[in-house]
Amino acid sequence: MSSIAFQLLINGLIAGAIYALVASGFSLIYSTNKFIHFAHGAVIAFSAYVLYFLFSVLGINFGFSVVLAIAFASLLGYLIDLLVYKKLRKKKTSSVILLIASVGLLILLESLILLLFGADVKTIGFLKVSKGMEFLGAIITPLQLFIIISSLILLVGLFLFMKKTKLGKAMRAISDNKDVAEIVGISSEKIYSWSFIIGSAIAGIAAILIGLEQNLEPTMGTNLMIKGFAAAIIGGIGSVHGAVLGAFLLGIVENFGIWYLPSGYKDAIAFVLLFIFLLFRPQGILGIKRRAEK
Amino acid sequence: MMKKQNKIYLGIGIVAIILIVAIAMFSMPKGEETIKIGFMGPLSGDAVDYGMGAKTGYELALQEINSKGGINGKPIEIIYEDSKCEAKTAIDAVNKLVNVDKVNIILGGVCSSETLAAGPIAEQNKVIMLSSISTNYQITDLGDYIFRNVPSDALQGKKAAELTYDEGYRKVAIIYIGDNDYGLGLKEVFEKRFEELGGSVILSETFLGGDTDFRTQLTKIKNSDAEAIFLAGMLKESALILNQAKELNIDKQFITTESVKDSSFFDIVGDSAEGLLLTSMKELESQKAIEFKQKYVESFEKEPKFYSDYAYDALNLLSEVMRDCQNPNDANCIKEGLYDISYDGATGMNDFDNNGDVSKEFSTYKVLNQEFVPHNK
Repeated sequence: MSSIAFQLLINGLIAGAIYALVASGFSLIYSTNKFIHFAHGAVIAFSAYVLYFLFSVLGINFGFSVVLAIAFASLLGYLIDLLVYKKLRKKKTSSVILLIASVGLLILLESLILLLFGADVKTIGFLKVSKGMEFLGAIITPLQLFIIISSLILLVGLFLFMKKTKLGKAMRAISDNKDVAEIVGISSEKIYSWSFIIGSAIAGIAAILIGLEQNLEPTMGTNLMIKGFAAAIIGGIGSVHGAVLGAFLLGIVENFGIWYLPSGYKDAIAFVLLFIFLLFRPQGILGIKRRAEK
Repeated sequence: MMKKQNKIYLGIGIVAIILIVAIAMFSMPKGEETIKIGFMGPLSGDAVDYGMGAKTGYELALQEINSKGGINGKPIEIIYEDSKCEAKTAIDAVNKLVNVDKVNIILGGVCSSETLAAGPIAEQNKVIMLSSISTNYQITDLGDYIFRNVPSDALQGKKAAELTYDEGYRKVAIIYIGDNDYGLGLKEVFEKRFEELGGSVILSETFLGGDTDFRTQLTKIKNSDAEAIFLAGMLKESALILNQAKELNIDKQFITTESVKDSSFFDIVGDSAEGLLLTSMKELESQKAIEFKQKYVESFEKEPKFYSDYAYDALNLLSEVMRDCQNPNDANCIKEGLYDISYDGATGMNDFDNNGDVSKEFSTYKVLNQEFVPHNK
């Protein structure tokens, strides 16, 4: 029995790591911009297709394709901010409008993928599907191990980035109190752009790993976003490393939940967890409880 | 205030738009009457492959029929509605086709869920619905106006259960798509027949359309006593399940159904499906089947998708029935005609029974070297 438990833990970690890849970039963008950037999922999907196009269609070297795909993700994120959100911010639109704009962008980008690449499933085909390695009675493939390690590195890396670097500190300052941060000379617009660039670069990394693991479909962004968003809330929205922890918690609870419950309840378990957090700990795992704002 | 120059541009823009609209309206074919037929199926979303398979089949048949002068001189026109493999959208699509476009014939649905949801509306409005893909066994009882030229899963589920039993397996686990009538129907029929034969289903696990992680379901099956696994799902998820089963080192025999029998399947699974057993409608070597394949490759420059042949036959046999009706758009006459017709097409003999079902021969296949090879025991 214990070998099942361990395998389920591994399954949970794999699922959690994938959610974490989505949630961390999303959460980084939320932390400074304070609105829900749903199109993040589409940035992931689009970058995965770019990787597919460069590597599988054009036959460019894999390493180079990966670098280009990440650069593309950053650029796409930056352009979305520049061309859509910035214009809306200038008109002092509320974050609800920005949210709706982001849903619109998500649908637009997904439709664009559909138009450019067609609807059938694409495989990148860099790694062959092979038997996993035995690891304490559980089985895991090297790619999955790599995904888990990457998201752990992201967890530590983002933590250090936010705490130690000048840019990270500026982001936290904007996140904490935009007006005061501007008074001390931090340009909020610049920080917004940077958080889109960095957050979307993380989306690019997510795109590569998820693309290799799950294959590509035009609608993959929406599916990823649903769980990634739940993970970010559980972890404490706006807290970047919290989002990674939330993602792992979500993945593990989901997979252990269907050990005894019928497997159809998998998503229900995820959202019950979300509700429990919203009701009893709305600030999430790592979020700081704020006194009522205004 | 708008600058003068901008005003001029705006004016030119408006005039241009009016001109384009006017030209478009006048250049529309006037006077030429077409016979409108509706289509309802997934043209986007998870099940789009099946929808496109059907659409290409219809298009091929349509091209042929219209190039030969249509139905008694009138060309057929198909109005495509995207129902996304969802029951709710299917209802909207059929309501639109019936009430706005006033069609009397609908090709589709594609997913069983679509046909089951929208069938009663077609029946109520006395509109013919002819599906070429939906295989759920409950469609048999939808009504007099609902036809399909693809055999019911009541036959295929049985066949799959018998195949599993004949291969010597007595304890099986089922993993099926739980939010789709295709999977639900197959699971029920399989389970019933397999238990009748004396086997037992010891574990049933579900997944949803669009899922990508099946590891925990597979872990449970791996650690159960099941000797074989019956998989009832759509191509995308089935392919990922086989990949993940290989990663998890599951060496139990998988048995599945025709939904994976398309060349695109191997793009995803590679060699993880080796040894997979499946049931499917028998591949025919008949003259018509070969002709269809040639025409399809000529038109679309690729191998036929799954069910394209069924769609092709459906529109062709429909056009024969329509030709014999005084008013080729008279649903009642077409209904009678469909019950009477025996049409020999690319998929074999199409002979509708009292429920509007056809029976076709099933065969079993095995995956060897990334190909579906007939498997006879």
